Amino acid sequence: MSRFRWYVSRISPFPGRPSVRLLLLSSAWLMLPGCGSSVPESTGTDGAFRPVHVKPVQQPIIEPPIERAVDLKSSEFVKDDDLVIGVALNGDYRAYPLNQLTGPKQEVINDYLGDQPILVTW
Amino acid sequence: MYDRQQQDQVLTLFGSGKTWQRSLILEDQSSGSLWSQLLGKAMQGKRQGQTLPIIASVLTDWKTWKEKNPLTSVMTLPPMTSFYDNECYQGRMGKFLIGMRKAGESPRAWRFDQLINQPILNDQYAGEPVVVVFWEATGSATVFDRQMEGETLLFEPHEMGFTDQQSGSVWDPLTGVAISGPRQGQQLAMRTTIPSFSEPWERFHNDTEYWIVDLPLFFSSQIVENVGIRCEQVSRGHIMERYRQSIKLKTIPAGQKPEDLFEKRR
Repeated sequence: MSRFRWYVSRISPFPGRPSVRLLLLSSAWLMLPGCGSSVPESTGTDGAFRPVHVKPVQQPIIEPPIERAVDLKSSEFVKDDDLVIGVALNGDYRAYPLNQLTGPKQEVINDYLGDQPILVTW
Repeated sequence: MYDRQQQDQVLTLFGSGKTWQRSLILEDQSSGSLWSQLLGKAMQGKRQGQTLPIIASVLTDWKTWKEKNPLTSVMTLPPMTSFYDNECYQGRMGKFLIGMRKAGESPRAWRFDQLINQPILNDQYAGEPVVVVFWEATGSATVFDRQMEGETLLFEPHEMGFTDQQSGSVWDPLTGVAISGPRQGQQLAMRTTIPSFSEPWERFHNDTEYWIVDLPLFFSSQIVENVGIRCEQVSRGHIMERYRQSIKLKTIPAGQKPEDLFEKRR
């Protein structure tokens, strides 16, 4: 252990006793711009729930228009290369194109797949 | 993709117009409770603390999905953007991930820019063996159980999907169905996962364990940097020199025997 400490002390750019070095290093972050004065922003699930109102309230979308893939003639709604969220439940299959799940009015879809009520959102 | 059936009723949710940490907040029509989109949890209101169960879903492109599931139906609302096609990963692999969470465990996430180095990954989450399958062409990542009939399978890449070492069967990356080999027709259980952008995932699950491809050389140099030692100082020769100095190895003057270096005590 002591050998390791000696080794670190020789190559360290901060000379002095280990305790002095620690003091120097621990206050170094105060010199960085914007640090040391502001309260750190809370993130993650531990942060308090503070919703911000940013856009108009959306109308609920209940059971959106659905077509079978074999009946779909035009590529107006979905192209071959478009990304979709696919779900398979008890022999029922459905795809929700991501390009349709964006925008101000249709981000949240309430739907049924078979008997199962599902919520699709991206 | 959530199950909106709660014990007492089927919820109808809509966008509340609010965001929390730049992520959407949903509101349910009957009670007016506010739900976090990414956590699937009611944060405020009568239903606070309740969660929506996740339903297994996959992110892939339309061509692949309808080829694998010809009976599929598709939502036909007017598209609002044309950003999301299988080109949208180009140069942005690090922005996408697939995450898993379980009560009482740290969440786990696999970023696409890491999975691209190891598309078939035999991993373990919450003590259960799983395989993470990444298909670069369609940008789909799926997680399956590796347990089958009491056997823990080990998987390898295969041009048609992936194959298990035990029986050599070939499995489909999207559905987990064995398409050929002795296990043909059997299906691996798909785990519920959450495809997400990396940034919001990080904001909402800041105790996430990330899987990172094993690159020992790169990471050892990172660790060396982190403890404040510059890389070029840690060459083998340098360490040997320091070591010799530290043990004060005496050089033997001419005409002296090595034995003379040691003190003779009586």
